[in-house]
Amino acid sequence: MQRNSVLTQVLRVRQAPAMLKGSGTRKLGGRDPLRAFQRFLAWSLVALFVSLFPSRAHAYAWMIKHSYAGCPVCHADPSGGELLTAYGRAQSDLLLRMRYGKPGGSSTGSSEGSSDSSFDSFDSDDDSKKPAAAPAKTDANSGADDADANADADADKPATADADKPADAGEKPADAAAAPSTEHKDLKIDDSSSTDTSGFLWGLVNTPDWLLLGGSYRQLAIYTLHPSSTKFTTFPMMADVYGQVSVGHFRVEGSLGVVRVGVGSPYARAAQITGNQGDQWNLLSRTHWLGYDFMDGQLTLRGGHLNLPFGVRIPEHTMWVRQATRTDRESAQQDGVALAFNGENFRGEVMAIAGNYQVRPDKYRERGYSLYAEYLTSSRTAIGISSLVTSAQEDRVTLDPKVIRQAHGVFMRSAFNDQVTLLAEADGLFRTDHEAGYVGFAQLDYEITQGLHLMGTGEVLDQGYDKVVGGVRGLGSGQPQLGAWGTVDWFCLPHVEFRVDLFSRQNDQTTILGQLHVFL
Amino acid sequence: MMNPIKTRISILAAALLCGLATLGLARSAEASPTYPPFLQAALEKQLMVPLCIPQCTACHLTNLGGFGNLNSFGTNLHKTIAMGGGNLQALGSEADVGAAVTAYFTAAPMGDSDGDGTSDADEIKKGDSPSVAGVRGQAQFCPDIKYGCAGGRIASAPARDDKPALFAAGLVVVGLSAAMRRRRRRAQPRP
Repeated sequence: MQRNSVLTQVLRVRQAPAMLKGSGTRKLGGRDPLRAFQRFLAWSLVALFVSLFPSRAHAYAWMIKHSYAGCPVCHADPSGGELLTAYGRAQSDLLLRMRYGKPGGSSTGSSEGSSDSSFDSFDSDDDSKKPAAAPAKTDANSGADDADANADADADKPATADADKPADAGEKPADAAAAPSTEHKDLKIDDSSSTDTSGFLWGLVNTPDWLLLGGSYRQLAIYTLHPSSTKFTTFPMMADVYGQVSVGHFRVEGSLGVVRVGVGSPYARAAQITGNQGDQWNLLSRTHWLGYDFMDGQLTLRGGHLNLPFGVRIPEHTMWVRQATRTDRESAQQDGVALAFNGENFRGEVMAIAGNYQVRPDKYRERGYSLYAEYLTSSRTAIGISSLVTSAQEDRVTLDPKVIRQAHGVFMRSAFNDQVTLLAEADGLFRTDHEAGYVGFAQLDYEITQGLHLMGTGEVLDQGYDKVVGGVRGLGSGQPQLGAWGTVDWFCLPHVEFRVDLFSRQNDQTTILGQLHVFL
Repeated sequence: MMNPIKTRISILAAALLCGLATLGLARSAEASPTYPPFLQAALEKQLMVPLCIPQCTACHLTNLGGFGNLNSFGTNLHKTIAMGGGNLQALGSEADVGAAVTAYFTAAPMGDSDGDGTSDADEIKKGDSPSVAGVRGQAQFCPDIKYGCAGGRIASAPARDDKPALFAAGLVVVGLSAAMRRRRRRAQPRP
């Protein structure tokens, strides 16, 4: 039978994506996908240094447009971010990256007609295997349940899907985890090429069910525009690996990376584990925790160094809404204990903050709580609230003494259709010896075609006038400061993303950020 | 057995990562890491006392820095630079920062940014913040904050330019091109 022919299989694998075919054999690698891949990488690198280049990462809150309102299906962290489950890996390949002529899952009606409101879209797909809301988390980690489902569904699979991955389908957790998407009645996806590259290191390493591995490398270029002085700088912003080991209901997760920042930098320092205080390289760990899943995975209790549960978990750590509340995933993590809930239409997490024990002395450690709760009002709209209160003897960032810091706010995520998603958040800021302030952002994401996003973001900040220091009320300190971002985000290849941001903030320089993001 | 196409792509990807990892070896991960050590050098020269490398809060309201986030000392420096026809946002080199500091302390040797009765120069010499009055500003010019799980040491000033990183990047691009050319040559059938 043709679909099982080895020769046919090889030919099929070597067929170039349709988008590349018309460009000539010599120019873009012709029919050899490997060549095309190499050329893309090479040209991308050239572009990166000749002009400025592109990127960004995990925990894409706009995945709600695929009816993925919840996070644990695709992420090890119950509130999203970084380490992907086997299932999340497959979905990242199917739904995020550009398909170059192949039908994708993003713009082909991923959730057309989906009327089921649930944080786990796939629970709504298949009532026959509908577990409680969150078991998908553990299933996604292991891929086991999906593998069973895959085996059951093999007979019904389209010939093309079988033909492209006959030999590997049964032996890879990642492949198995990808399978449910082909069964998804709303997803019209040909996953024939996704499974080859969705695993760790593009499929080079197939991890066992109990082990998740991942990593992230981001090279950033900054180009500041000023009439009398334009500046260019480029540096590795992130070079982390992360992993999770599951034993029964227990999970242990950790990340390890390297970074080099200047003295006094607000970035990375709070996550470092080695003790160099200068501009040397440091090892850092942004998260490390021990967790226990119960109630069929709907509840997860974790203890360790955790991302703070607050607001929309966007990857842009310099966005004011994350920076002013100090709830970014760059280095704002704290030690503590957190309880996360992921139900049908409701999810949330509350964390008792014990302080960041990677910062010394103790007077700089903040203690308090942080939480968010989000309710799914329809299949692709969720609204939520956040709250954070911390106190420290001395503020690590402002050096103010005896500070109680609070942030309370609301947020929403809503997909208007398959292409357009709105993320928004507004928080009140309250700090000792300061007038009340506020911060907010709204981001409109338009996915022109699968893998290519245009984003426009507006933000506003008033951190609150310092009543002790006094002085003139300035933008952002007693007066509202406005900022705007324009972004092109291109998921060009499996696990590779290019992104360019142009942002301008009042009383600050206009800046172009170029980012290359490779996630393992 | 591993799919050979997959293996090749994986190896290529791993190679790419290694290449990328070399791109920024000479740089630290932030936009303007050079100002604090530049300021330290300029102040040491001006005040003739050894100083630590200050944090961004020496001139900014918070360690996040930014031109729109200057404290009173930073604002006064800015004004001095502006009066001399300079532009704060154009400051780039150690010499620029040194000139700005010299101009400020020359124009206002007893300048007192926070108005607490102690001059900026005296406060900096004592390690206090010139922008925060009284007790609240004590020891704030060089706070005792430390990062990491163990004791550490302060480093030398960071690299001054992008040239090593750009050179490394160029090497990666040239290497990739050479590898592709070689592969293409091998793939051609021999006569």
